[in-house]
Amino acid sequence: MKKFFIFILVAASFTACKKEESSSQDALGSINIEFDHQIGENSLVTTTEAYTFGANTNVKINTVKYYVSNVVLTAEDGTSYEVEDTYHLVDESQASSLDFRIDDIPSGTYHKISFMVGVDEPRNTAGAQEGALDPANGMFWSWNNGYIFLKLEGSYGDENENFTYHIGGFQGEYATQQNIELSLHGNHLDISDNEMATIHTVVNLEEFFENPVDWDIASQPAMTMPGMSAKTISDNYADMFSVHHLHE
Amino acid sequence: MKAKLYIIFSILLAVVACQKNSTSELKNYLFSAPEDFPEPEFEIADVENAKAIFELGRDLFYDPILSRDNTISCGTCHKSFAAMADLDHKFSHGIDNQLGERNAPGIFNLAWHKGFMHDGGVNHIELIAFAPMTNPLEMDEDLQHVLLKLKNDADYNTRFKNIFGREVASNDVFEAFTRFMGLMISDNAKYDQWRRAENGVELDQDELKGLAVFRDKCESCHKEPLFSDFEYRDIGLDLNPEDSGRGQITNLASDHGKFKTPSLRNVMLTAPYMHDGRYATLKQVLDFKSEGVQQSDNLDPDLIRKDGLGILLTKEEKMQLLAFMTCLTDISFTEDKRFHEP
Repeated sequence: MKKFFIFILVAASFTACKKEESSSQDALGSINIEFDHQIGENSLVTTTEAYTFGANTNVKINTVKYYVSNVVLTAEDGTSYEVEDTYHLVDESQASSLDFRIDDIPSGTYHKISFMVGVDEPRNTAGAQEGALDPANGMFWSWNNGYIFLKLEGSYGDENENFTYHIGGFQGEYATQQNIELSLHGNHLDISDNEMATIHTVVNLEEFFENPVDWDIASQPAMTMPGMSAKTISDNYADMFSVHHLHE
Repeated sequence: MKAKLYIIFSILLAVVACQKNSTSELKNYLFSAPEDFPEPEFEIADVENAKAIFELGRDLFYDPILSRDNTISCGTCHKSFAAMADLDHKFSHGIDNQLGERNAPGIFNLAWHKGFMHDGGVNHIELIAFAPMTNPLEMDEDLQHVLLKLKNDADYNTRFKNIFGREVASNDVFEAFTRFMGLMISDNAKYDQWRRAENGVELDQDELKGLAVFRDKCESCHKEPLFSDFEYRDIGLDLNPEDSGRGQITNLASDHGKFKTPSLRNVMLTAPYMHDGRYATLKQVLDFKSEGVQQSDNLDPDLIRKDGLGILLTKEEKMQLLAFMTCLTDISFTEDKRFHEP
């Protein structure tokens, strides 16, 4: 049923697009949100480079994966364009995943961009999904259904012990979806016909371990279910994104 | 002219006849809610190749290829003669002969559940198979690896391509499981036939009295006609429940020790009982409900009387309830060849 429905939707949207082209000639452009993982001012080096985050020493990061969804572009007059049904899985180990390209955006001047780190509640209860949301991507809890919104894995300390942070939980008091609004530093994003605007976004992973809470890895090196700790960590990493520059 | 018409007419007839045959055959593989059941929580949409998808789901269900070392299938612990439960096993044997942590439930009328597993941790009918497949005590396999094994199996590879028109995908595996398990509908016990006034079936005196006791004292949770409300409750099995049950899923102290109300359909076939299989017989279950309920923190209010805990049952009422519960055994379900290992 769902598939048929999607098929009809897709068919309908093709029809809609064609109509637009032939009648009103609405101009559509694209954006590309580039994710640039850093530690402080430097590019993240996975596996080999050892970092110090507060009391956590010899921290090596092996895995960085997270969902970005529900992108919203807002114009100066307050009108906004919501990118629906679009989910992207960023995976540090897959270079192509560091670009989140979104097409068919109505041309115009946008002053704000926001997105969700995580997956909205409806998609956490919608059964088997495809694409970025395919449970085979290893970002879905089989015994306590819901997406893992962010994964950070690696090792720490003198003994190189492993840490495993799987952050998720989509409902109630400990929901961990984080809505991120990016400042464009007074600039604006011009979307014009058949052009692509790029938003170069720095993701400073240091923020995972600090602000507002200094996180001591040794106190809880493994986190694989929703709850208060997951919520705390998600509040920490909510401010790890910042726009470095735009190019159009 | 006449001859031509005749030929056209006979071709038409043949086409109609063919369609009729294939339609009645197809019906066996389409989801159809019994008329007197409430609206299902999940729909399984009609598709043209329902039979092929169903059979794929059946073959996957009985194939150990889903487990890490290819030794355990779903059918290892869910047996058709036990209404898809694991008869005589408190806990089932998983991979490396490990024991599971909860009793394997029967599988039927899934589309009416609000959540799956004893704790409702699985929130959608399409994802049921994913849980045992990846549980380290059960099949301990990785979904990505299952897909790879299925791709490398010439027979499965061809079947998936023929049915879904693409390489093996997790969605298609889940769709096959959903059709196979979702079609397991049990609605033809003696109770059902009596209720529908079919085949002159009647309940005897004890069974009728049992039904009256049931409606008076059990119905609030084991709601007819599915014999469950599919909510989560702590029924006071232990003063301090070790297994948090629903609480593990919701993180709420108020859900600690709660488990999904099991359906009583086919209850005679699914011993042992409770989420941990602690009771071997229904007699023991009734004795517990009547005399053994403990004052746990989240004890269900329905089990608290002014003068004590539990549901007060006389010896005679227990006997009558047992008589009534035999009427919930659906042999036409357990004997349905569609669900058996081919």
